[in-house]
Amino acid sequence: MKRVIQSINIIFISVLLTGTVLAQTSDYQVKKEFEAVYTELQQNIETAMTVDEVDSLINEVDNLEATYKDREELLDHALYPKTYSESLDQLKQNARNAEHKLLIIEDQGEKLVRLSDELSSYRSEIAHLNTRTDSLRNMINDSEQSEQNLSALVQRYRSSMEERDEFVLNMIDSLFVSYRDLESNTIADIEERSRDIENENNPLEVIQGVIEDNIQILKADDGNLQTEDHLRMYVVQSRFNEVWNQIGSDLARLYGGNNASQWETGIEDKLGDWKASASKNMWASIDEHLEQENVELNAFDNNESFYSAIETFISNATDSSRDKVVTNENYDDFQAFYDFWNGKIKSEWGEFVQEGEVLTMAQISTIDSEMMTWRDEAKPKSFLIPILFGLSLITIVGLIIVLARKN
Amino acid sequence: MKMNFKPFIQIIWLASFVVIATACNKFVVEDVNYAQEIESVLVPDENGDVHDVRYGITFNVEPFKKQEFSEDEPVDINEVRLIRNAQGYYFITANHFKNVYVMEPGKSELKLKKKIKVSEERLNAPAFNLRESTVQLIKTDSNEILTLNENGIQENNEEDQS
Repeated sequence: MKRVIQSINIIFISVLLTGTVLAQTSDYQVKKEFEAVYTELQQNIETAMTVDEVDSLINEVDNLEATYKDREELLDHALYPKTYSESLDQLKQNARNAEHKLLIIEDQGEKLVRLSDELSSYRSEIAHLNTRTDSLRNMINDSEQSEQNLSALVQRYRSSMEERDEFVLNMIDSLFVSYRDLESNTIADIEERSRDIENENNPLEVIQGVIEDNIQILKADDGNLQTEDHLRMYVVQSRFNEVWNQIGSDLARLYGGNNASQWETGIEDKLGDWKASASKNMWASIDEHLEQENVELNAFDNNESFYSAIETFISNATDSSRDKVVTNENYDDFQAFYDFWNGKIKSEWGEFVQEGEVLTMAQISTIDSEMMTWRDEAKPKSFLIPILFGLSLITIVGLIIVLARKN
Repeated sequence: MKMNFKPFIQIIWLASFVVIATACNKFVVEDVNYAQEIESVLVPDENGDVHDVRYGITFNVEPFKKQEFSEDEPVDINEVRLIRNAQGYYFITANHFKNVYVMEPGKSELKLKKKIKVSEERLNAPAFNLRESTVQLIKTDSNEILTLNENGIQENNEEDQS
């Protein structure tokens, strides 16, 4: 209705000024009337809500141009420092920009609805997998079955967890890809559309739910998961955190309404809890694994302390190997650690170690080089060749002496 | 007998100086067009000063008020209309005026060149247009047009012209 009234106003002013132009009363009046229509068109372009509205305003700009074409010279003076055509070009450019922006907003509005639906379906699938893993965990806990059957149940539980984590990763990637493409200057405009999305489909609700589920799973872990599972869960958390840092504020603005900052703080706090649980479980699990392999490292609970513990361990072992050149006791230690390093850290867990930055590439490379030094020192030295060489030398010298005496 | 040239040389120097100084004083740029293509409509401030930012002039409207109105007429001037012709004269009037004032700019002053009576009744919504070398006064209420120059109203007035 407001738009219709605005259009009628413009038409009314245009009709009035057409009469004025014909009467040619006052140049100043022509200027004022041109400016009045111009300003009104400019305001309408700025506040237009649909592409159709902008199209109709573009027609009105064309009409304005046609009406004042004969007064171009006068308006060039009147509108100084701009010219008449520059002013109209500016108005047309503003209209084109507004149209472009509205097209993006309409497109992004649709994209948001699609994304919300997508998130909901991820949420249902994750809920379904949660139920499955919960029931498997309960079965394992209550199990009085044979060791073989129990092992199969644990395996199923672990696979189910893996599948679930994959879904969470897909969801967060999909969220990131969709929101990365949102132009930040249009976010304020599409906020209104996002309010139409039902509460349970609100991405903030979905995200919060996923985080809470993960915290619960990590806290409920009773030793059925292996180090690889904890590494994967740590990586999922890191990825989630990374994506939230990039799009979290925009999401909170879009879907948080008046409570945007509370949403943002709430989710960040929960992400902190998730990170703490995932990190604690993952480092504890690596430590446990090393203990099982009889590798005694200093205490560690983060990247720096883990790297430092490995470095200290290798350095001490290398020093110790220098003192025991003949025995192969240290070489066995080396071999045990080498298997852990190459077999687990670099191969089996390699993807998660790198992605979760359990160790950085630079740290891995430094440790590789220190490992080579340790290997060289730990390898038992063989004295067979020098002994054989000595014997040969003595034999030759003996032969020379015998031959000399004969002569 | 030796002639003394010193006084002659001094006279030649003096003559040269006078010639050069005279030449400098005569430095004139001709065919300057002062025309202001569109009138300025200026709103006086509380002191009666008007400022035309675009064309760079500031003056007070009180002297015009004294010319137009007696002291017992409490008239406020809401807008002053001003235009300049090619020769550089300012044409000034306002609502409720009976005259257009043709003012010649001087050093920090506007000197009256001609007071042109344009209406027996007081003007209601006057406006200036510049057309070629002349200034038009348009009485927008009656659609009457008077063609003015610095000397007064021109004979060949066109009425209701487009």
